[in-house]
Amino acid sequence: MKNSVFIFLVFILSSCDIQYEGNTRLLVTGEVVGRNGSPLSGVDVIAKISQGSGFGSRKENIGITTTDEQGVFKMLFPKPKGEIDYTIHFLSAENYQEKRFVNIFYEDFNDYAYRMGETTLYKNDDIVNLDFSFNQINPQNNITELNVIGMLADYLVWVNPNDEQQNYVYYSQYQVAKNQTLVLEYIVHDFINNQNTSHSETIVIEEQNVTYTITY
Amino acid sequence: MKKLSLFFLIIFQFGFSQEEEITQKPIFSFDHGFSVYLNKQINFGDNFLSEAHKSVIGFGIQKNIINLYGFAIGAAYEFSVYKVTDKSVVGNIESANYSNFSARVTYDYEISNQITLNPFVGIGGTRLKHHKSPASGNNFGTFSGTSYNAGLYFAFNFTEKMHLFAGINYSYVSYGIKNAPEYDAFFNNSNQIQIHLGVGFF
Repeated sequence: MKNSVFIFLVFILSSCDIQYEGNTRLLVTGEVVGRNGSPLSGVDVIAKISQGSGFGSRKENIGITTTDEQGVFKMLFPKPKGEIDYTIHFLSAENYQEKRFVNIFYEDFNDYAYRMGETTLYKNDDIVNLDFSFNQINPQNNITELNVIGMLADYLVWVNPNDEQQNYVYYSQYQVAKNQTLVLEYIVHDFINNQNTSHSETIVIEEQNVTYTITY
Repeated sequence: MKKLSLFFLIIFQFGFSQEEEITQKPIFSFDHGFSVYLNKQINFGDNFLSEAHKSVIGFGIQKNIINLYGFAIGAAYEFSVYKVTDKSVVGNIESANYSNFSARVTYDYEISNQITLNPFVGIGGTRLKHHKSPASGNNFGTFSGTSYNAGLYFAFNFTEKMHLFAGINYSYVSYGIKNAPEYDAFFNNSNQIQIHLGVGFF
């Protein structure tokens, strides 16, 4: 009886492995640079996959590579079967930040390749927080869009929004590089008059964390 | 059915004719020869197997079935373990099992009573199954392809029933892998030289 239970458990556990299509290979490529655009070599890059959620979810570090002297990386790995969330994780190198691109799906691959282009990593001591506070003085106004343009240093980049984020209009917290001037663009919607008003403002970032208030 | 019966009667006639014509080889006979060998695979060229794997010693077995006009027709099975040497090309994987099953035609060319040359050609199927580790059941899928082989054995007839042989075999494998266009050639073929050392039984 004990043996039967053991065999059953082994069977259940082994069936929890993520399955792969051996005859399909996926490619992830990109380039990693520092703040001044110079290539960062020796940065470890990992492709992580996960399937399901909660108890019974399955995870695997399926791809692994390191950037070369030009900061370029490529990694190939077998395509997992089923619905998979892909994460591309840049590990820190020499006091540089980590960065994760999450919620990538197979549909984001084109011709079996996910080409990331250039990814900028900032030094940890070169990053501050930028928080927005919202001062609503006109109750008929809503902010419908908010973009921050400049050297963003977020640790987490959502390639596709998750279910909760699909209801979000904008983020209110950012990590940004020190000593720069950011451009803030946002749209205020007057839902009584059904009018949109675009705003563009600059935010000076120095050595300290910044809380910026938007009044609308 | 009649034709098939006639065919077998003729075949068996040739088979039994061996007893009457001891000095001549029959046109057709059943061939009970088989051999086992160690197999060292050396991969080369710009392909995934050469660039990202290293073979550990493998083994092979060949079984002849019939002999026709001096050509031994049979089958061969080869198995070898590979270590993954470049995970950026293969994935976060430790090892692979390489196996090949092929039909093989071998010719016996006697140099002397003790020395025989055995050129051979073969065609078959190759599978490369990746594992997390050699002992792990967790697998990462299977490459499969068509193999084309040509080789030559030098056999030393040790006794009437046994011979030792050493040889070389070239194997080209064509795979059917779906991947990014720039890696089409890289993933869809492999070239290898195999060095065989084994013992055969008549």
